[in-house]
Amino acid sequence: MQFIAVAAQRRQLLDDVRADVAVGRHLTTLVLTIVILGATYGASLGSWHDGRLALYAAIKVPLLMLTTAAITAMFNWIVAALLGLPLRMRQTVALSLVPLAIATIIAASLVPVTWFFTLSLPPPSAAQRTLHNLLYLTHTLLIAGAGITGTSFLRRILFDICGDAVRATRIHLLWLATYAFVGGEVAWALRPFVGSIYLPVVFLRSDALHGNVYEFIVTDILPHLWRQLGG
Amino acid sequence: MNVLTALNELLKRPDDTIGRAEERGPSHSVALFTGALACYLVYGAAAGLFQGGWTVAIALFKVPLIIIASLLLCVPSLYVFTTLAGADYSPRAFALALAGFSGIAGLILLALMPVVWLFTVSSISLLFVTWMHVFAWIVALIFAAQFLSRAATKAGTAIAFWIILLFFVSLQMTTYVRPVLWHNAGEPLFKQEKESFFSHLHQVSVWKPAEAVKKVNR
Repeated sequence: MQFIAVAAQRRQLLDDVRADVAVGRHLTTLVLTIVILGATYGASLGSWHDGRLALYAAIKVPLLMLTTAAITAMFNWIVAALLGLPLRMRQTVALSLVPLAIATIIAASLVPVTWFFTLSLPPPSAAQRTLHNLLYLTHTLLIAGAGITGTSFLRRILFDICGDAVRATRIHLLWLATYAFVGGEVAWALRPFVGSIYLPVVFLRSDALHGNVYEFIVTDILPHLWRQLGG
Repeated sequence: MNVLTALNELLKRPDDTIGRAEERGPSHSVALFTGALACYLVYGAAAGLFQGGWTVAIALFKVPLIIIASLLLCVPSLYVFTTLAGADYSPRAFALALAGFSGIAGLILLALMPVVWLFTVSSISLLFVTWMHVFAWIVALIFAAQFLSRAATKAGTAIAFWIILLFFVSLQMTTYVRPVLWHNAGEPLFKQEKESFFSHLHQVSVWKPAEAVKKVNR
């Protein structure tokens, strides 16, 4: 876990990726980090509901990260090339995984806190809709914050590689937008993570590809919270 | 190093505490943690005087429990947040930064203890007393965060996020180990029902005045 959180270790990894040296080894480490730490966070995410959802979420959080990376890799590679940063595909994949690995490290560091909240909050029931919505929103914000932190490192890396702040910022913003857009929909397709208070626990919903997460937040979560606040 | 010397140095020369982390053994961190614990105990006892009697012992036990348990839950995130922000700790320096943070928070709570005691023994509103403790805790966190920023330079934003996290965890921890300030006769030491801190704060705000009257007649 320490290898990428510590600046010196991170620098070594990025230097290797930039020089296209030992990228395969770093890819393995990055994937392992995402799988192990993502599973840890996923387990805490699903444990509010029950052990089965904890197990499912432990599988699905790494799957979410790796699927997002896989789907965005091609776009990231092409955009970087078009904006004057020719990278090999494996370098692009490695760079795509770095922010996700950092995000899982941040998320995993919050596991004691999320576990404690899970332990001390009332269990899911139809009466706990507000609590469910707050938990859902909190986890969404945590993951988004961790992701944004992860991609902020990407901007520095891209600047180091291309030496042009404007170009690096453009590539970074495009990659960030792609992560958020794709990651949100992949998360929606892989739901439930926190678990519904009305529906039974399943690995994937039958309507997995129906609607998207942004529609759900705007049409369900936020209006309910607004009504609870007396708006 | 004894506890008083360690706390005195932390209060007057915090940069010495940080700067000499590597040349000091773990006993310095232990001394700071011990001093912090003593401060929390004193503050807890003062807080328990709101109801008096056995509640003094309950608060004496639970206030340090709330702070220490919240800190322990947030230690991994402190390490990750600050190292990602550029801090480069040895394990000893990290332990000392955490001990210093605990120590400063304890010293501030100790400094506020006479004020807290005055309002605690004279107030009849649980809501007022609760928010007073929340305010005291925020003040303690702000000062402690400043110390942490010296120990982990370049990590100011990360520390600010972490302090917010610690604050919310401590609110939920208080709810988890409730009751702290008012213990009804026959009530268990820890309530079994799970509750969020939002709901707990709401309950405090609608606390029955009859109970306050009992306190006045005490």
